[in-house]
Amino acid sequence: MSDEQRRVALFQAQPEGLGLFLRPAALSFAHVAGLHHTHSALLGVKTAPAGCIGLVLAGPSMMTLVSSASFKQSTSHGCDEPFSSPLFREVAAQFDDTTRHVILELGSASSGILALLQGKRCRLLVANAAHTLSALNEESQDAESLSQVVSTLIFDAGTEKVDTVLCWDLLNYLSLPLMKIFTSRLATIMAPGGRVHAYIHSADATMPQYPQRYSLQGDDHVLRINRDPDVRKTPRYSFGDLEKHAVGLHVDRSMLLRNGIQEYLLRAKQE
Amino acid sequence: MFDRNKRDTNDENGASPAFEAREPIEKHKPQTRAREAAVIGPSIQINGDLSGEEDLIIQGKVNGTIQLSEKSLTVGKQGQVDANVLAYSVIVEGKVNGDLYGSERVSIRKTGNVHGNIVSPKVSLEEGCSFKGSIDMDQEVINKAFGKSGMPSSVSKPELSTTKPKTTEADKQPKSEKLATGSDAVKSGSTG
Repeated sequence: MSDEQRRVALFQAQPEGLGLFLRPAALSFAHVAGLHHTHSALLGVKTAPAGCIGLVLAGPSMMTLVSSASFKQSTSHGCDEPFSSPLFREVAAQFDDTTRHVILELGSASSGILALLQGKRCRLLVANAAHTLSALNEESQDAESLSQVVSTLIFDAGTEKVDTVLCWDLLNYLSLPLMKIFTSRLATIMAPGGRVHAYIHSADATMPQYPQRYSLQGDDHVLRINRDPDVRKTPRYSFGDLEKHAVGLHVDRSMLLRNGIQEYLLRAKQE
Repeated sequence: MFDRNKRDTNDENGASPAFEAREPIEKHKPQTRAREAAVIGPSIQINGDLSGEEDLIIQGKVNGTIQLSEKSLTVGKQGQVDANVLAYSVIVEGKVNGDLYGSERVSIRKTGNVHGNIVSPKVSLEEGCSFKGSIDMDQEVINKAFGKSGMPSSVSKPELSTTKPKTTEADKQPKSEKLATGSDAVKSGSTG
């Protein structure tokens, strides 16, 4: 197992759909620490500090507890510690100079993303709509008018279909009814099998008041630019929540990162 | 364009050691000295199509189309452009509502506000700028927009109809049709 794999706590849904899928919200760091102590006792190895523990689950039959001295918790505010984002890296690996790729960025474009796409056959749609979407409220508007607003905010790619959507942490800021409207809009503009990348805050009780900007640092690290001193309660959406409320999409893969963010890759259902 | 202006300024002030050595040569060859960019001042408003063979700085308002195939366009901080733009390089510090075609580069500075689509091999967005639209850096699309060679000298008309994405009602701009459908030579603008 590589160091990179050891740095993340991985919850891997089985591709064939037969394996175990663990709800990220069901495992707090205390649970992880407890499991680690048990594991250490069984193996007779020294226990590492609980804060440096990660849990790797690569399938129903494989459970490995790992520790990493280099792990640093993200700060509450300001620029957070860059973190490894394996599923994003997997998405980015699809962008190349041979196949045309249409990417929808729901927030504002960062220089890191532009650098990533430079020289590749990519078209980047920048909706710059994360703040506006997060402020929408299904209680003040009926579903139809909300749907119209969402359609206006998330424009399509014309004659093309969107292959990849970069949600970052936007889904945390949408109520479940609004998530239905939002994802059904995405499904209409996406190519069948297209992918949606998203982060769900699953470990912390609070999160920044508004969706944050994310950029890339280096080849494989993501940087959250948190400039929001105010916080709000984290909805801690689960795998089941996304499966049920992400209309037109299904959860393809999910990983719990060491900073407590659950990374998701959803796919547009085939027509 | 900015670089060229800066060079001229530096030459005159002697502020930049890098260009001091060139000064005597340029004095003996005034005909080769680069012209300063044309400026559309803050009080000027142009309604119509604008084309030219020199660098241009817009600090006023322009509605229509702008074509500077081999030259640079700078939309200054006070500039407001409601037009499709075709230029060698485009720098935006003010407001632009329209599509930007830069055969070399499109840069949106931190004070820039762009609502439209960008087609260029190199695109840079400074932290703090506002941009909504699409960015196409696909070489095939760029070649199609600027001619097969992809060289600025061969630029005739961008094939906007093939690259412009379908936008929402709120995003639709009437001026985009002008450049997309107008096959006639671009006329000079008129002040208004």
